[in-house]
Amino acid sequence: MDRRYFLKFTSAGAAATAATTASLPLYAAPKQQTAGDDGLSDRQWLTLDAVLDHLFPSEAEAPGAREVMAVHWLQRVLRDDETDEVHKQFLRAGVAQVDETSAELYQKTFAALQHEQREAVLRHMEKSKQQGRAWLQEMIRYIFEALLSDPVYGGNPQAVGWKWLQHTPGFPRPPKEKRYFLL
Amino acid sequence: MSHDFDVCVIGSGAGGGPVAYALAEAGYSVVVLEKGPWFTEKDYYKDELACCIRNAYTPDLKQQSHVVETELDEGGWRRRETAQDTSWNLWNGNVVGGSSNFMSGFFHRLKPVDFTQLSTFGPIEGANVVDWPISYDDLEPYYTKVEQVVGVSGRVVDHPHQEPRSTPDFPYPPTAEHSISGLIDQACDKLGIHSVPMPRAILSKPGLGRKSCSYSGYCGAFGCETGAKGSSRAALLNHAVAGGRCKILPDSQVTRLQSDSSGEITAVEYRDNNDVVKHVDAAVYVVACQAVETSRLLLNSTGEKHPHGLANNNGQVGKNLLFAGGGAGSGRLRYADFPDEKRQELRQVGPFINRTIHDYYVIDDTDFGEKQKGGTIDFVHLHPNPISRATRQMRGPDGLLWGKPLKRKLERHFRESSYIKIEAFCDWMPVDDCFVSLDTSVRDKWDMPVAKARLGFHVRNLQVGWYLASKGAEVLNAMGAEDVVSFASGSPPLNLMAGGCRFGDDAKTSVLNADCRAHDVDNLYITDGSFMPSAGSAPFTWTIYANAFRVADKIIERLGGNKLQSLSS
Repeated sequence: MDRRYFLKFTSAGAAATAATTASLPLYAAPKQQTAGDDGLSDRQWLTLDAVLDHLFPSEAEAPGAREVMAVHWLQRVLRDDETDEVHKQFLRAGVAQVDETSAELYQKTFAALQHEQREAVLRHMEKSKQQGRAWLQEMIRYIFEALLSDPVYGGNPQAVGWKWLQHTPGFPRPPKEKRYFLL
Repeated sequence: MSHDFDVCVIGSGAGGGPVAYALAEAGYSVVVLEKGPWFTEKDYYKDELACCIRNAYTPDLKQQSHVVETELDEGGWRRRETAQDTSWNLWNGNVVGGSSNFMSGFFHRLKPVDFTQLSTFGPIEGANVVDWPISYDDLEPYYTKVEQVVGVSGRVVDHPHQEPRSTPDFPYPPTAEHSISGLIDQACDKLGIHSVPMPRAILSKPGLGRKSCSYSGYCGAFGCETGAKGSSRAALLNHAVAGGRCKILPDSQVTRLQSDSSGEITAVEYRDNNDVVKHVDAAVYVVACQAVETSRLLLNSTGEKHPHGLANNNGQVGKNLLFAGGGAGSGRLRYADFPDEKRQELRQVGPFINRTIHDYYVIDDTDFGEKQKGGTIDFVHLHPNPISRATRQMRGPDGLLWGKPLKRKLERHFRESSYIKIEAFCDWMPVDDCFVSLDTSVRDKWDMPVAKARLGFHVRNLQVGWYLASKGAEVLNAMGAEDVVSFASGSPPLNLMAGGCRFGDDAKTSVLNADCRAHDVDNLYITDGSFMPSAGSAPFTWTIYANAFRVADKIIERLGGNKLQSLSS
């Protein structure tokens, strides 16, 4: 395994974990207004966080996208050298499309919208925008990765997703040094 | 003439392992070239990302892809490059031991009728049905050998389609059974059909230098951390290497088989881990790269006597590609429908269902048509992978589900029921429109043309698939399952491939002779599923293992017999 990749991946993971332990939303961390190496601006991260929260909301009895750190999961995917560049562009284009659609319908950014307006924006994307449905499907799939993969990868903290769905994981579970990208 | 090794085996899966094991055991030196890495029990964990989402055990499709062609309803063919459309991934496990590391180990023998399909049932229009050049009796001793050497667990019961056996029962008792197995037995009794215990290539007790199953509930698609699963690596190659006469070269991609003016192979050209071109030579060469890649390697190996690819002077290499499948279905047992103590049993994760029905192996049903080849119906647990399961829940009646409705659906799916799947296997017809060729416009990272697989199918697959799947659905209904569905599919299960270099007595319509030696290359044998002229009506891993042991005996005989026995006698 490429050592550079290993370092990159784990440092992103460590940053994400630190942010969560402190219970701070990702965007509270000081960040440049311009796109970072993940290619999204702070404002776009706010948008993405709001989209994930809408697609999989937090509830008292059931974890949502925020509890399973789905936005950090997406950040790792976007910062991962192994992620295909075409796929990264697809992910970023969808975020841009969310704000474009919000502006088109309500003249606001997605994060500034009410719940019903957010629903309308995403449904409009799903039905009428090129790649809109495919992008939303991929967002939900990534939420599921963060919800149900082994906690060793940085999602599903304390197995909250498995516990919620009463899912019995297989054994033995992967230790840190045997994560797939280190094999 | 001196060679680097007596035998060179290309591919370390179910086709290569038996040859390496048997030849090394008979005193011959063997080298096994495997394109993938050498993982062991210490590398295999129950990690859905590794096995099934990030595909850690198969090549990066950007660097090594395939081209797939599927038939359009309106006629013509839809071409896909798997680098772009990754759902059509033809790689199945490129590591030492091959995809046998990731099998579920549902083990079925063929039955005598599979060897005489043409003479028993007559020709089928549009299908290239033939009799096999060997009989069930030729293969039976090797099925038994696999039971003993690879380790097969099971229980023989009396039923009308039980194939002949030379031993009364399996060497290992059945693996632990789930409560659902008993429910299937009761339902079959009610319906007057036979519920048969499904043999597994999984050790139910320690043996053969390996541990027994740990019943984690995660088997197929995952590597086995106990060694209980009878992969080519755990069951055969580890022993061959320990004996000192077998050398495995992992991370070694074979790019070409070089041949001379007599048409025989002179050396194997391969790339090592650092992409350095290397060569190795042997007295006998054995190719077992899984059907698609075996045909591709031959087609890429042109030579003076083989201008169209090695062993392809009759244009037969790649033809009559086969799969195992045809029908499927599912149903769910709602916990609420069962008393408390039964609920606890149904929720149990670990034990296997292990039930199969063979009553329709030959369909003799006037409502369906004339007497014809049918197949097997297997009952298995729904695959436990939670990300994949959740992903299948996002489709709603009017579009994508998200928000609280999606969360409630996940709760119902995961918490309230146990699911049973039907896997129905017809005899996948060999047809002209299912074959492997080279795609010269797409090349892999070593600049070799990739394989193109055209995946046409015969309508008979759908008819028999429907028939079998609906019989499976009757069983689920009789069990009180809800949401029972069954269907047929012409879409081939890409993890179960065979054919492409079928064996036969006529060189014009086959690539290999009855010994699985190429008709026109004296020192080439093919021992993966490529040799099969028809697929049988069940997953064929056991048949690949058995046939590879049979061919290994032919090679030993050719090389002068068992060297160690002759030394000691």
